[in-house]
Amino acid sequence: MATIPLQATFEGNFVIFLALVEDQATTQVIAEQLAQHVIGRLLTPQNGVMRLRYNNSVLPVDKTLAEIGIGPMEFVEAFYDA
Amino acid sequence: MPRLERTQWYDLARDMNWRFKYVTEEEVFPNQLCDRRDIPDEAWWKWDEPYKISYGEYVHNQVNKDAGIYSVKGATSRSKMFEQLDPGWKSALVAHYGAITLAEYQAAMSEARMGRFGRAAAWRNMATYGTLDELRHSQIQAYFSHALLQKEPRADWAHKAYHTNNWAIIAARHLFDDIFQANEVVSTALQLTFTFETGFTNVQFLGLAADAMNIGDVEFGALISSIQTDEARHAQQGEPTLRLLIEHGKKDVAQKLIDHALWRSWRLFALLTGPAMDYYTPLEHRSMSFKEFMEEWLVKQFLDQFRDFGLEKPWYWNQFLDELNWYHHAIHLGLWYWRPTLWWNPDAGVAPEERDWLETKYPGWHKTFGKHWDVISENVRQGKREMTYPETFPITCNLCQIPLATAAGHAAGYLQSPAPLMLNHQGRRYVFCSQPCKWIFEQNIERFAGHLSIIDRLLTGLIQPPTVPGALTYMGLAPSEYGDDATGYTWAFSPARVAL
Repeated sequence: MATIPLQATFEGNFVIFLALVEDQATTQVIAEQLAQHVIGRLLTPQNGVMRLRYNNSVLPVDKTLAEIGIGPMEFVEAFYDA
Repeated sequence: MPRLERTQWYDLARDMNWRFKYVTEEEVFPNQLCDRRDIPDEAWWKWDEPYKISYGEYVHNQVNKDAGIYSVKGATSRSKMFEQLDPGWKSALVAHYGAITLAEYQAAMSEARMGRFGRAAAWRNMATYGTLDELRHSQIQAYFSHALLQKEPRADWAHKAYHTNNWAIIAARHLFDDIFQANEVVSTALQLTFTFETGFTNVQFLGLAADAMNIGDVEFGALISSIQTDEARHAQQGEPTLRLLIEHGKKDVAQKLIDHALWRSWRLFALLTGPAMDYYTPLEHRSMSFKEFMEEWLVKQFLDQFRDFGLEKPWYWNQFLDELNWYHHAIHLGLWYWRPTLWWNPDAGVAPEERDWLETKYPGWHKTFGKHWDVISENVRQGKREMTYPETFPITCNLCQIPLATAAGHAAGYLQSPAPLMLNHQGRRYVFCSQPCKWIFEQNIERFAGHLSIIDRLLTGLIQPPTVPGALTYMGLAPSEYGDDATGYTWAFSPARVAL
């Protein structure tokens, strides 16, 4: 279990921010953590499940960053999956 | 005894070039400090400044300039003028003084280097005047801001800023260390005097002066327009240097130096001048939008000079033109959102009538940026002020040191992806906000690779504790200095606008 820094944003946001996350957390949990920094602060909440995108691919919700192989200072984008 | 006209003796007096007999050219003018780029030494002797002035004239003119602005200062300091200024405008002043005052001193050192290592006597003369000019600029801006201390304690940042690790000052110092400080004189003439001064400073010093006069801030307006009269003279060192390079087949060298400096200057002016013009200046006193000022001073006037020399537009020109529509709006939002990290109080500048102006000047503003301000203003109205503050840090570019606003560019439809640009070099990851920043870094990796951005410092443990308060302390801010909204959030208590 390790805390790793990521470059992150939520779809529709204006800036890339630093997110410190656990590499054993699932992508679903990470997406929700990223949302804490944006939804309700800079973007209006919406209905829908939050997912994570990396290298233009939508990541499986139940996989961890470590299983996928996402390392420090990679870029991820959370979004609402309608 | 009748005195000679300057034109009758000037060429003789300034012809102080000679062939060294006891030392070598290289010993007197080391290439590390004056990169001749294979241009013969005596070819440099033809360097010719467009605006000629004798020392006697210089002193006479400068005395009159200082007498003029100090008398304005004398009158205004006895008035309540400063107290009555719009709070957003006051923020523009405090931001300006902090960001600029000691940068002028850096420029003085840079001019002094040209004064010693410029390869022509005429150039060394002009640079000597330039050194005196920049000393004047640092001193008068320090003096004017010092006089404001009783009324605005954070005017202290006019002196303090460059001695701190405030993130915005890291960005400014990185730029000025690159193109002023750690630069040989030929590059300095092209990057400082030609690109930064001729291209950009008019936007801050004349554009903002026009707004100042509209507002009635005669003190600041007189100060910065007086400063700019000096700039117009010493900025002329760029042209003859550029001419020589081009005459000797070094157009590519010149083009690259200018492309590098122009992009970097754009980044800093978007940070400092963009918000000041489009958000802090009271709406009724905005003479032009930031984009309009940039189009006049840079796109039109400066580009004409490019063409006159046979230079090409920088390779990223279309990206730069696109960014005039969105980039500084993203930076302004970031400055406001991370306002505790600033030594001034940013004016949100988003009351309904201000938003309408923004939409008129920047069609699409409501859709791209208004949506964020809608959420922020609703939180303010609901008493959820804590939701308008960040709990993390933005990622900053390893070149310009400014937060990555790529997400805004993508949301506005100008970038294909919000993703940062990245480079792995010797086991370290570097991140960039744009292709031009990455290009500049890659042209001279060893020059830039050792620097740590503020985020690198956080991640490598240099900022302790690694929290928001810890970072604020690291950046030199006492709690009484943290920035807050300039107008006490009054703009939020108007009917909420729906993003169109």
